[in-house]
Formats: sequence, C-alpha cells, structure tokens
Amino acid sequence: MQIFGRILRRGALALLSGAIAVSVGPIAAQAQSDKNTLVVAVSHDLQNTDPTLTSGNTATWEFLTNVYNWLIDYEVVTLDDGTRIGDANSFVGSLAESFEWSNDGKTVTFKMRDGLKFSNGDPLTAEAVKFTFDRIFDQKGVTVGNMALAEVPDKHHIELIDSETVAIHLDRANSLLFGNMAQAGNSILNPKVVGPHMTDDDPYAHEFLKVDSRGTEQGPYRMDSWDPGNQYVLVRNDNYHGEPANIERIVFKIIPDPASRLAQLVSGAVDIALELPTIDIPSLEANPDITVHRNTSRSIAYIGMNNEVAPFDNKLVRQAISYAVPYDTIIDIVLNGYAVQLKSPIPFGTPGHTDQFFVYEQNFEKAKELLVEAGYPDGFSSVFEIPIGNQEAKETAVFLKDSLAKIGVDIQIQELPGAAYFEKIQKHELKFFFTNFWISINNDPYYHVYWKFHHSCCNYANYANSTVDQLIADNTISTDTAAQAAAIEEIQRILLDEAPWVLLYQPEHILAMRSNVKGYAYYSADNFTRYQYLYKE
Amino acid sequence: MIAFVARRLLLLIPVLLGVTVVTFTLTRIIPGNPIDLMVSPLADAETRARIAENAGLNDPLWEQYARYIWGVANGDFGDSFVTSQPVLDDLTSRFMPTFELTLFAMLLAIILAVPLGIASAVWRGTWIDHVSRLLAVFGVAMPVFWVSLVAIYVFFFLLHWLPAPQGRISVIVAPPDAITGLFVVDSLLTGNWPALRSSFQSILMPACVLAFAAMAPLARMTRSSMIEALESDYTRAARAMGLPERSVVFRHALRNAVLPVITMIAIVYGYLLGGVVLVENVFAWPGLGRYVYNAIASSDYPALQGFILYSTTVYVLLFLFVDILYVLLDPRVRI
Amino acid sequence: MAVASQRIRENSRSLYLWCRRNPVTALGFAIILGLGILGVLAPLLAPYDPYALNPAERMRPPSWEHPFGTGIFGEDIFSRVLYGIRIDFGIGLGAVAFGLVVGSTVGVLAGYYGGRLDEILMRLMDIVAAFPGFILAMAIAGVLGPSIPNLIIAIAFVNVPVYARLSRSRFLVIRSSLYAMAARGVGASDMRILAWHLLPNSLAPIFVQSTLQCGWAILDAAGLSFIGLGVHLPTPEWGVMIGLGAPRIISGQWWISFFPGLAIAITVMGFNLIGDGLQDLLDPKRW
Repeated sequence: MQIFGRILRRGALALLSGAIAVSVGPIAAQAQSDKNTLVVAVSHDLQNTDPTLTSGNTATWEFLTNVYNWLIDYEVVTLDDGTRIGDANSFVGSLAESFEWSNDGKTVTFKMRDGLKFSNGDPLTAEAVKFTFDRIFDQKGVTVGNMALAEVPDKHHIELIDSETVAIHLDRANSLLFGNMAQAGNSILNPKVVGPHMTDDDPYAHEFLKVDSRGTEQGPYRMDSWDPGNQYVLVRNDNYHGEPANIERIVFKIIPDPASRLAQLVSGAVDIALELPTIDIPSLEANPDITVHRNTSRSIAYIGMNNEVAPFDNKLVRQAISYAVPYDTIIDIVLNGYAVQLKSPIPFGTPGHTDQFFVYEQNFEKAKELLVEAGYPDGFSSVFEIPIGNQEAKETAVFLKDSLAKIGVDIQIQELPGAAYFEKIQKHELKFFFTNFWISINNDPYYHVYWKFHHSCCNYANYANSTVDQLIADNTISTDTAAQAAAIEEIQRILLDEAPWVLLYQPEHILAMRSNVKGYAYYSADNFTRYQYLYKE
Repeated sequence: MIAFVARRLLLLIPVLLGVTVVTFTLTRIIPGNPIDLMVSPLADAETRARIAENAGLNDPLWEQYARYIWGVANGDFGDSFVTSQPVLDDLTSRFMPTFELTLFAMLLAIILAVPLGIASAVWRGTWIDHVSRLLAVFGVAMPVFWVSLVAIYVFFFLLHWLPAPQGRISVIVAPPDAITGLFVVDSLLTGNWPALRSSFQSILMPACVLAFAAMAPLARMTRSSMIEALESDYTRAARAMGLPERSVVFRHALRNAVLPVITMIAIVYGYLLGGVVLVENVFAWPGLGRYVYNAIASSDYPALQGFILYSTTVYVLLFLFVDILYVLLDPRVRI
Repeated sequence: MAVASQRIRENSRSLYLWCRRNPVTALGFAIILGLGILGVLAPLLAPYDPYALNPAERMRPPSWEHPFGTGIFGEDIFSRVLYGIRIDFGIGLGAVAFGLVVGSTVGVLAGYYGGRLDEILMRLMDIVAAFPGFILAMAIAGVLGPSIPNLIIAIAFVNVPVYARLSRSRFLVIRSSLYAMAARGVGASDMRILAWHLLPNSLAPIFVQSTLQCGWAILDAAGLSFIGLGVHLPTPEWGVMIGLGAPRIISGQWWISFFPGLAIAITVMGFNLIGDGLQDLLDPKRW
C-alpha cells in the first residue's frame, strides 16, 4: 500500500548517533531471563496512532498491526524448509469467520465470528464493522483510495445485513479488494469507545485515536502504557479471538541510534533489534547467540527522474543516466549485498514480474553516446534530492555523483528535511531524487503500476505514456487473466525502454533476534512482525 | 532591590516578545508543509484542507501569531507534530536529562578550572601557567562532538573502561526511583547500587567532554581576575601588613576575584546549551538537544518554537541572575 | 590624518615587538599562515582527487598510500583534509566578513545617528543576542537548507550583535575624541570623518574580535555540518567528514573522523592564539 509511503524510511530520520536508551520500569532488567517478556529495540517512537488516518512511521504501523485486527487476514503457510510466512496472496477469515463471493463476483458477504470482544470486553459485532467503514469513508481515511480502486467507492457499498453479517458491494468484479483489506487502515474500531469522542470539532475522534487505542483493540495485543520518547508496552489481549499470543508483554524501547540498538542486541539487553545497518549484519550472522532472518522484500528503491522537466523529459537522457549508475557498487557497498537488483519497476515477488527487458548495465561509453544523441554532448547539471539523515540515500548519492561525473553530469546532493521532502515528493516537485520507502501492500502488479504510473497520487516521476495508461485502465479491473498477463509484460517492456526511473534495488528485510526467540513468520505484504507467534526457549 | 529585579524582569518582556516574533517567523519559512507530517499521503485535498483548517494553518499569520502568544502565556506551546504530545510535556520530560548532564559538566569544570586559574595567577610565568594555558587553548579549539568521538574510541573501543553510548543508563538496568530526577543522585539516595554504577558510567564521558570545553574560559577568567586582585591596592596593603601569602591569596584576593568568575560561569553555562545539542547526539542522551535536532530534521514547528523560546528564556534569566548577584555581592555596583 | 597613520604605525611596530617577545602568538600566525599555504597548494600536494571514490579500498587504516586512511566510500582522507582547508577557511572568513560588515554598519549607524534609530537598532541586537548562539544558527541553517552561503549567513547572523555593539561603543568613544573634533573643526564632512578617521581608529579591537570569531565560526560551521545542516555531501568540509565517520567509531575505524577533527582543532587554536595575543596588547592581564 502506498501509505507505507512515509513509513518505511521515515525511520531514516534517525540520525547519527543517539539512542534514547533510558530504561523505565523493572522489566528491562529481566530481558533475557523472563520468557513472558520480549524487549524490542525500535528506532522511533509511536506517532499518530489513529489506525485509519495515521501518518505514522514503521514503528506506528507495526504497533497498529499488532493491536488491531481486520475482517480477513493473510494465510500463514509453512514452506518446505519449515519456515513460516504470511502469504500476501492468500486470505483467510479473521474477525470474519468466513466469507463468500457472489457468482457475479460483485458482492462478498462476511459472517462474523461468535463471541468476538474488544479488549475492554465490549462485544464486537457487524455493527462495529459498519461503524468503522462509515467513519473511514467520512474521514477519507488512508484506505479509501484503495477501496475505490477495488470499485468500492463509498460507504453505501458496505451493507450491514444483521449483527453477524456484513456485505461489501463492488461496482465491477475485480480481484483487488482483499489485498487491500488485511491492514491497519481497516482496523475495526469499538463504537462505544470511539463514539463518545466524536464531537463537532473532531467529528472522527482523530484527536483521541492519534494518541490512544485502549479499549478499542481487538488484536492479539493491547496497549498497556506509553512513555513518550522512552518506550511503549503491549500486553497480551485476553479477549483476542485467535490463538493467544505466546509472550505476555512486549516492551518497545526507543533507541534511535542503530549502533546502540546493535550493541544492546549483542549484549542481550534486548531480544530483537529493528533496522540495523547492513554493514553489521555479517558479524551478527556469525554470532551463535543471534538469529538473523533475511527475506527479500518487495519494497523498492529507485531514482525518480521528473519526466516533465528538462533534461529528464528526454527519454535518451533517462536512458543515459540508467547506463551510468553504479548498480553493483550500490548493492555491494551501500547495501553490503543485502539486496537484489531491481530489474523491473514491478518488483521480484509480485506476479507478472519479468526482468527480461532489463538492459542497463553500467556502460559510460553508451551513456555518453546517448547524451550526445539527446543533445547534451557536454552533459548538464542538476540537483539530486534525498531525505535528510537517510544513510542509504546518502551513500547512494555520493556514488551516483561520482559515476555521473564521468559522463559529464554534475549533480549537487540536496538533503531535504523530512517534511520538505515529503511535501515535494507528493506534489511531484522533486526533479531528480532518491526514494526507497515504497512497498505495494497489495501484491498485484496492476495495483502497483496503477499507483506508481497511472494515478496522480504516487506517480512521483510524472511519467505519462498513453499506451501504458490505456493498458492499465483496461486491465486493472478485469477478470481476464490471460489479457492481464500479456498487458503487464507489455507495460514492463515500455517502462524499461522509456526508463522513467533508475531502478536500484529491493532490500532484504532483515530482522535480528536473540537465538532463543523462535516462531518468527515473515509477512511479505508489509514486512511487519506479528509478535503473537514469537516465543522464547 | 525588589524594584530592581522587577524592573529587570519587565525589561525582559519586550526582548522575549521579540524572540517569539523571530522564532515564529523562522518556523513559518521552514520549507515543508506540516500537513504532510500530520496526514497520510493518500488523504485527498479535502481532508488535508480540513486538517489544515483545524490546525489553524490557513489563518492570517498575525492571527496565528496572536494565538501562539496567547497559548504560550497560558502555558500551551501547542502539540508536537511528530510526537503528538504537548510540547511543554515533551520539553519537561527532556529537561532533567539535559540538566543532569550540564550540571555535572559544569561542576566538574569549576572544580578543575578554578584551582588551575588560581595556580596560574599565583605562579604566573611558571610551567604550571604554561601548561594550563595550553590546556585552555586546546580546550576551546577542539569541536566537542569530535572530542566525544575520540573519547568513545579510547575509553570504549580501546580500553573497555566505559560503555558505548547508551543514554543515561543501560537498558538492562532499571532506573532509580525518581526523587530529584537526576539518575546519579537518585540512585545514591535510594542506595540503588546497580543504577548508580550504570548511570555514573553513562554520564562520565559526556560530562567530561562538556567540562573540558567549559574549563578553558573559566580558568582564563579566574586567572585574569585573580591577577587583577593580587595586584590591587588592598592585597598590596594586606601584604604590607605582613599577612601570610596564603591568607592574602585566599582571604583577600580570591574573594574579590570571585564575581567575574561567576559571570563567566553563567556565560559558559549558556554556551553549553549549544554544545549539549551535539554531545547529546553523539552520546544518545535523551535530552533537549536530541529533541530539537529531531524537530529541525522533521520541520516540527511547535517543538522547535517551544525549545528555542524555552532555552532563550533560560539564557536570559541566567544573565539576569548574574546581574542580581553582582548587585548583592559587589558593594561598588549601585542600583 | 597624520595622527591616524602614525597610530597605525605605532600599533604595527608594537605588534612586531610583541610577537618577538611572545612566541606563542607567533605560533598562531605560523599555524594560520602554514595552513593557508597548504590550502592554496592543495592541488599540488594532495595525492588523490578529494572527490575520487574507491569502494574496493574503503575504510582502510592509515598507510603509506593513504596517510590518513580512507573513508566509507574509499575516499582518501588526507587529500580531503587538505582541500578542507579551503572550504573551512572560506566559511570562517566569509562568516566573519559578513558579520563584520552587517554588524559594524548597524553599530556605526546607531552610534552616528543616535536617538530613536540607535534605540531601535540596539534593542534588535539585544533580541538577537538573547538567543543561545549555536541554537539560533541551527534553526536558521535548518530553515535555509544546507549550502555554504546559507551556512555563512546562519553563523554570521548570530555574531552581528557582537560587532554592532563593539563598533558602536568604539564609535562613541572616538567621536568624542580630540582628533574627531579637530577634523570637524577644519570642516571635514561627516562621511569623511567616518571613513578617514573613525573607521581606522576602530579597527584594532574589531580585528582582534574578528580573529577570535573566525575560530568560533569554523567550530560552529563544523558542528552544523556534522549534524547534516551544513554543506552538501560530499564536499570535503571537516565537519561533514567527521560526521561520515561517526557511525564507525564504535567499531574502531577512528581515522575517518580523527584527522578532520584534528585539523579543526589546530586551525581554531591558530586563530585563537592570534586573537588572544592581540587582545593582550589591549589588556595585558589576560593570557
């Protein structure tokens, strides 16, 4: 989902050094010995916990993912090697016990589980589902765009049948709805808790939800306490409908400095450390006390070139840049090998992905020829925009500058503060920029190209091509899988030829934990850890 | 006296108002629209407009300013865009760590610098004078953040004497029960030895680094005001009366040299408020310095305004305090 | 006029004598001069292009090939430290020049016109001076965005009150002095008095102040660059270089940050030694 937008690398604002490593509460001392407490080192504090309108960082999304639940969820499957993953393309009932599609594929009916309860004990019925979706549509919540894409344009398409049954009506049959549903943006909320906070000034109780979730959770955990700047604590939700979580308490310690998170993990002070620098991963893999889980993620890092602004409006220039980028150095040095090269705008792991059209190996001669042909024999100069404090962006930029200088292109690296970067990227005002925050939660190629090259929202590079637009428009809402497959290949052929982006890499999602912590399941849809499966030996 | 203090306090009002104008203006020209931090990128124009409207970002600037001042006067600095918490709460919770760090640094600096300054004045031109001058010259010339890094390399990486940057206390040690809010003092008071050990280890490096930077101007001021005092008529008279040199130095000269040193302490403390931003960033210290840095990096206006206003007030009050002290201690200063 | 130039001559003569008697201050001059020459000759002396990257050789400790080791991109630290002299001296001198011009203009205007303008200008200066310097510079640099000119403005702005107050007080002292009166007596215009009599006679203390401020400006600039609010990557500015090496300190790659920091310390020390020495001319009780 594009919302991860901000999320993934807002984490990158983590700076230099500096960990808020203050420990509060007696739990910390027992990190390793207590099997009922898990201590996690996170880079960021929670920020805006309104699940349906969060602007939060990864920490916030992961928090929401663990305290809330949805009608349907990803199926957990066990692979041949025994590892378990949340399959981004397979769905099972969650709060809904079952679901049923109508024959015309335009209505899906959810039957709620019996005896569902919110964390405060209030019953959870289909009325809460209706309440939640009404609020989401009224509030223009984060998932409204996704629902509309799946042909569910307004709240009247959500039908309350009885207190056990709710139906969603689609205007046209398509396969996009479920991929949008198993996420925090569709968290079912408790009307009895949220309702009283809805006032004239704050019709959607946003002010309440953005700092609190107590009483309205229904996921495996609930919020126990939040000491801003220091830590937040989740405890097992005894009213959760599914398998109870194995570990009773999870203490999230906010430690902004990656080196400190690493040191705390190695010393055993914390059980899990998130977002560690890739340069330190080899030493962790060699450490018998640490288990490193590595999974190729579908998040994409690329360099956007504003296709409407000279010189990047010239396809030859974009191709020339694509030929000049030091792909191997970026993957081997910046990412320390913990990434795969991105060879199509549709990432590896998404159905329909193909790398057969990728031709851009580093070749300065070819790049120079293309620049001459494009009318820039002496090269040109440009800014290169990156978000401040993002180490990957910084290092990529420096290597890029070095390589581009060899074809006469002089770039000035501009580090933009968080808000400035996000404002400009959303207004499509960046000219030549690094971005590595995107992951399409819905693992569908059309969902991906729709947002990235078609809809104005997230087509940050202002790419416009009538053929591609037509192919996307014709095939996104469709049930003709053969036509979809042919079209997605054609789209990739055109995109690689036109090179609206410089394709960089798909990083591995790396999670390092103490070896006695078991049960991890990777969810490729969003990379978030579901803590309920973890247990300590 | 009361009238003097009152008048000085009144004079602060226009200065602080001016300060708020400057901070307000500055934060309004920061690139980056705070709306993008407050709502999801998928939110449509209407939602964004509504949230901007609610946050008052569409009102004329002077109205926003008036509302801001009114809030400040009532103790409301607004909510941080990033933490969603009231800025005043944020600042309060981060004040004690910074205060603890600067307090220890300052005490350390005074303990080291004042005797050094006195010694250099008494034995002017000897090796001790030269050594302390060299120290002073070096102390101010070295960037604090660099000294911090060198200290970490030497005392953590090479010698393993002190832990890597870990904030105020190790994650695995529970902090002491809050009495004063100063971890070292609290753990001492409650007899919590593991916490004392860990918090002392944590504060030692950053405090020494800051103290090192603060020492130089203090030693320098102590030396010059001691020289002035030692050469003054009254010390000469005391010497002429046959008082022992020890008594001349400590009873007569030092007493008269103390005022400029106190002024210098205040000035240096104000200077530390800047240096602490860098040192906190290196040492993972969860204080105001890290907070303001994050505020700047994410265009968090309310947090930035709140911090600048806060630190400026402290700074200005510090100088007021020194002025008052002067009046109280120095009979030559008339109100 | 004769009076003024004679005074300048006297000043420089005593300066010379003072330097001979004070090797430490002479050392300050030698450091700055020496570094200045190294900076000018950087293209001849640097073994590598300061922007050249060599990922195969990254994070190597000091050796004969790389006397100061290599950084996280495999860049040669020694060459970058040499080129850094140009950048950091430039920022220091730029900030001082900017602060000096703006500050003394304000100060002289206030002193010359007096009255309400004086009151308004000096109260404005009070407000600027009420901010803790580094924090205001940080906010300004954050607002303007990273670049060398913005960095210079941010640092210079903070120092404007220093120059304004200094030049105003010097101005008032000198205006009431005998030679200003004498000049007015022979019919010199105000502007002429300002340009030919008052400015040269205010120069000594302002020069001293500027030398000290130059050291401070370099420190502040490095601090701002260190936290990412200063110059663009990968400009060989010392603070940026320290910042690039900072995350690697815990794992023992000390050289990336150490040498640029040492360069700052030596430079600032040089400026301070000069400034202190000159200040002793005015106030011999100081160090």
